[in-house]
Amino acid sequence: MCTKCTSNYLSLPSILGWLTSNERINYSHFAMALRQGYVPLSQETISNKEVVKWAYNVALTRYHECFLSERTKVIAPMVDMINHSSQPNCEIQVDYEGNVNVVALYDIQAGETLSISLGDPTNPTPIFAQYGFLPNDCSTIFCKAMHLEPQIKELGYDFTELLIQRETGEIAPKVWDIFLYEILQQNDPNAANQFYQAVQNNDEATKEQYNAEYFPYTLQALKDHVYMIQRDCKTLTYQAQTYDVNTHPRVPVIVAHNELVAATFAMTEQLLEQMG
Amino acid sequence: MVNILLQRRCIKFHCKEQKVLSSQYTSIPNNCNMKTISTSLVIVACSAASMSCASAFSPPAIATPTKTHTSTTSTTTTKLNQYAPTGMQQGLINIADIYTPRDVYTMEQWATQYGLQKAPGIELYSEDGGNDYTLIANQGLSAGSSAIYCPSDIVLNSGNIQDEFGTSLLQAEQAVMQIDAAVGEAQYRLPLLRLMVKILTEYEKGQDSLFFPWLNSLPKQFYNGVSMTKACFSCLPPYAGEFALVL
Repeated sequence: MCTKCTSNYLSLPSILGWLTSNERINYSHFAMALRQGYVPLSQETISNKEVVKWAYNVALTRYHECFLSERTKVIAPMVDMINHSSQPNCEIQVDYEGNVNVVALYDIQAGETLSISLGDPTNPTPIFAQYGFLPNDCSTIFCKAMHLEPQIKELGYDFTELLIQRETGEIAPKVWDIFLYEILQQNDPNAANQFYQAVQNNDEATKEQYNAEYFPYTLQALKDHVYMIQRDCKTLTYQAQTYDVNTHPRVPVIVAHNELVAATFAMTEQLLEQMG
Repeated sequence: MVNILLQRRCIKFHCKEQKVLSSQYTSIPNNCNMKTISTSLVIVACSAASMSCASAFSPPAIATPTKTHTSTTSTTTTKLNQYAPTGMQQGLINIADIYTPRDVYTMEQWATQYGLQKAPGIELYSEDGGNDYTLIANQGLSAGSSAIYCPSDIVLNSGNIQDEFGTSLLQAEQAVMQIDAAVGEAQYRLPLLRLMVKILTEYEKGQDSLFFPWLNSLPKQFYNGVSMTKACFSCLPPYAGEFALVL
């Protein structure tokens, strides 16, 4: 990969739809299980979708996970009101008797709000899907290349490594890798295999060779991706804004999310254009 | 007596917290009447006088909202509903009522009576007029010190819930595992199911629930993926969206 490329970060849009889908599916499965009647709840409660969904959301947005004798989730009144920060000043500790203690990680000045980490500080999207707010202090967003999930898995990469810098639009080197890998798979299976081996063996020289050789193609694939995401975000934002906020109170945060993604990808587009 | 209890409870904290708790929280009122109802449930019923002592850890003047509650000189029962507001139909929280302000201060008083402790200066705080709350430190707090301590008596714990519900919950969990078989990894989601079941069970008890003040302080409207309408969902960048719209 040329020096220009190695300093760059990128990937594709919307894992958000996928994440929200997962939560909705999970909620519906829980609701279905409750309707089978094993748990001693009244039929009136079980059949009240609003109440069941409320209970699910309370659990989902207020739990703290810890490992006692097993994976455990707890909700502690008052503690459950502490908000998220990508640079939290507190952490939650749970002792073996289930008492919950909030401990200051740093000296906290008078006037500071207490904060904990509710999720990956590099990516606001999962936090939005689970909690319903858009963290504005994330320095990166996830490359939303869900269409390359097979390549991501095959190369052994993690979603949290596939990032775009919010301030600059720079693309992470591993994002280049997954786009290149897909191109190789489609055009030269033998080369794809060698690239795969180079990734597994941390053979940077071979990776560099393939990156340089296929650079124009990878660049074009990334450009296509960036254009598509921006188009999607703009279309979806436009669509969202046609809804009445009184009947769809979640529209503003959806618009904010889409605009954040679009703005970051606009910077990425400029960087890619400068590359050729 | 309460001090002893707290110290006993904290004994399994690592050293840092032990020091903090024993040094910061030694002025719990001694005039509390404590009865151990069972080995797992300890109810502290404070007299009016002891409440003022207990609030030494709390904001000095908690503005109790408009709702009035009955005397706090309660008898010790397992049905501590003295904070429950009156006039609520069937005693259930009205989930659809998104306009009534969240009653977080009654919840705070309730939690304090059950042994919740805060470092001096830690207070509830809202920037948006009472929709979203967080906690603010009005006094400095040094690294490693305890900001809040919440005793297990009022903590919802997925492990304990499993014990509380036994077979009935186990059957529901098996149902989830079967429904989720195609997706897999359902076992990791079961602690969330247990919390949900517990919340629903306590909701059903209405004002009789130990957790009523907490339930009554919670937001009723959410903005996350689960809450989104079909219209909202259609405005999110696409991927596997359609198959999820099964509700």
